[in-house]
Amino acid sequence: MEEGGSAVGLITHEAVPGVVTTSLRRVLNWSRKSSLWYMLFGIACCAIEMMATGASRYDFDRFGMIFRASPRQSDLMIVPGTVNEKMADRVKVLYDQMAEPRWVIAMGGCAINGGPYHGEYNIVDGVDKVIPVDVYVPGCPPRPEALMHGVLLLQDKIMREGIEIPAPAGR
Amino acid sequence: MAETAVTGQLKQEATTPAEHELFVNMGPQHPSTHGVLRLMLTVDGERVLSLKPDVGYLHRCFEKIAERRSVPMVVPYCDRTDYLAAITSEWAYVMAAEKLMGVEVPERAEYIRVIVGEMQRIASHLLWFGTFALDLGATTAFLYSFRERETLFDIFQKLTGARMLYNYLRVGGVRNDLYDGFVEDMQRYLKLLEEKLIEYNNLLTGNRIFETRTKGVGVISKEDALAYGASGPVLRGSGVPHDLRKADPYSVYDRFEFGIPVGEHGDVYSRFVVRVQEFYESIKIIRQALKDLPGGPWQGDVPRRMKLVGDVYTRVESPRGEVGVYLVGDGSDQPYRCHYRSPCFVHLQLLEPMGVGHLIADMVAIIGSIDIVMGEVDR
Amino acid sequence: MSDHDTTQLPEHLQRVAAALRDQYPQLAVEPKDGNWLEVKISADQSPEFFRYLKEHPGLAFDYLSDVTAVDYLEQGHFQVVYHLVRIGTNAKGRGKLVVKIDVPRDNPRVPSVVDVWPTANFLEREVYDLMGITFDGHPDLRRILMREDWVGHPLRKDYVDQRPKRTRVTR
Repeated sequence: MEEGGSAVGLITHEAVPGVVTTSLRRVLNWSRKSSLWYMLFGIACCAIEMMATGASRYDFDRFGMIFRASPRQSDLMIVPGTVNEKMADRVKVLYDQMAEPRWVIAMGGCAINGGPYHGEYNIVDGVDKVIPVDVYVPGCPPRPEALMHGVLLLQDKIMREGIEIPAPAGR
Repeated sequence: MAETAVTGQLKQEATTPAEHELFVNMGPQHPSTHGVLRLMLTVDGERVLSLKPDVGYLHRCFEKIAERRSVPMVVPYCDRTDYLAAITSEWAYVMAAEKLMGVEVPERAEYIRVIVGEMQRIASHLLWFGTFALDLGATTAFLYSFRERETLFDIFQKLTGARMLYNYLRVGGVRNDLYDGFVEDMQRYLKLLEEKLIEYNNLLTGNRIFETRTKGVGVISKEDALAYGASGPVLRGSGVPHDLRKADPYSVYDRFEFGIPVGEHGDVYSRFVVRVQEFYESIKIIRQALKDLPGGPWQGDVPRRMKLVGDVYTRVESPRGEVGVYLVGDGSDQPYRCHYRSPCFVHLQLLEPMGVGHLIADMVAIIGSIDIVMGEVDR
Repeated sequence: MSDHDTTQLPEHLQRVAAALRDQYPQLAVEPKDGNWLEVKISADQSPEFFRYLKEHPGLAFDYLSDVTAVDYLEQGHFQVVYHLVRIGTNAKGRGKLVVKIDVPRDNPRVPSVVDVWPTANFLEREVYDLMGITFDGHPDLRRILMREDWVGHPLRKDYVDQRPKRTRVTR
């Protein structure tokens, strides 16, 4: 199957049923996006909406997303809430503890650029001043549907990622 | 550089533990600390020997912001202090502004404020119930309570436009009138809630595991509760029948008949029971208010150019305790000083007397029983 | 309203005013908004005055609701404000008391009331942190909301934010 082939990327071999050909990149990306474990990290008001998104009505579990308390066990860090000077170091420590591949969603106005608290004496204007961010979800707080949309966009982004195959020695 | 700054801070603040003691850092990222609370524990095995709370991880300069915004512009920031009980936070502030400006609130607006305030109490206690149970390991209660919360949010959305941070109270009244069908929606919701409360009580209140984990844990005596400035369910759980809605009635609370649930032993279980009983009292108040709802305007006469003169301290009974706003005006339309007295900030001082001698697992129950919201603690 | 004319006050407030005047005859007692009485004292009267408020049976203010401070930059002083109420006592009447202490801006020191009401511990620490007023006799006076190494007291009217600008972090 060539790159940029059919949209799904899978072809069933007619001669041998049950065999699927695809590319390694697609399989890896698909498995990563389908099981994004996010870190249970709640800073402020957006955390409540994040909890609501994970709870009964808007369920995160159907995307394969469960919360993990430890950064070492999570792939995704959703940063819900204002990052201030005291918290900024801690956010960096948490991010550094996550193993690659890792992604960050900045949830809410405060995590994007300080939000309603932009420019104040104790506020870091946006969590992307501390760690790199992949998806920005605006809102104050964003509705659970908005956060889910952000997660789906992240899944698309993950599908587009490439994997590095190390060059064989001698080349 | 960031790493050494953080670890340096940790080393500085730790008291040097003796040989059998261990310094354990709980937070600011921790599944059970309800936000960015950091507890510096010295433990002997699992037993807590000393405890120091470290706060400020959500300090968002609310009081400084209030000095540079006009009077109505501060209301959304009040929402975001206690983000689980936004209405009561706004209420303290708009009451203070109304007192300084001499604005009268029409009756209908007062009744609407009471209804929305009690709805907010129900929403906040539902979340407390779910997360408290989740901390102790009962995941089902979390999903159940969020289900009821979502139904309540539907009503809030139709009324105010927002799920959680409403910006609904205004100086002199409320932003808009109740929508057509609000009374029916609320009555249907209250009936639903009463049915579900039976489910919740079946889940937790008589549950032997729950009782063992919470009875006798985190006891605070009446005298200590008063001396340490406890308020709300924490104070009532220790046997002091003090509720601002009865002791110092504001708005139209003196027109309603409701009880004050009081706990007996001052432990986590008593505080739990007090909050569960408050569900029923809130339902009572809302039903009475819906029945007696007067007609009329929902916004009073407010001068176009607001002028704050003097200073005043207003207190409101939020789901967490006594919320106070000290507002100072200097004749302009911006507050000169707006101080927010947060009940949870004061309750954090109770953590050490309550927690010393208990296990770390009991600490989780104790923190849950205080119902901490860090947005309010740090402002 | 003159401090010698207490007949205008409602009865329960008159009792509070009378008990105050027992020990402090020069004290100016002003009524405020509903059930509040306001008094102004000096910093050196402070420890005995607060103890008197708590222990005198006619006063019995057992609950310190709030300690805060206001920066009157133009007038050159800070004003520390205490709000006291009575809750669990047998004293009749619902008087509430506001106590104000003015301190000069160049040397803001006030005695601590932690011995009288333990709740003042965190409240005074916050005033120290954000306004820079020192509370003599406080067992643990250090910053509570700002970072430990912060310089300056942010809620002062002449505070200037001098942090260096942060730039965005990318992968």
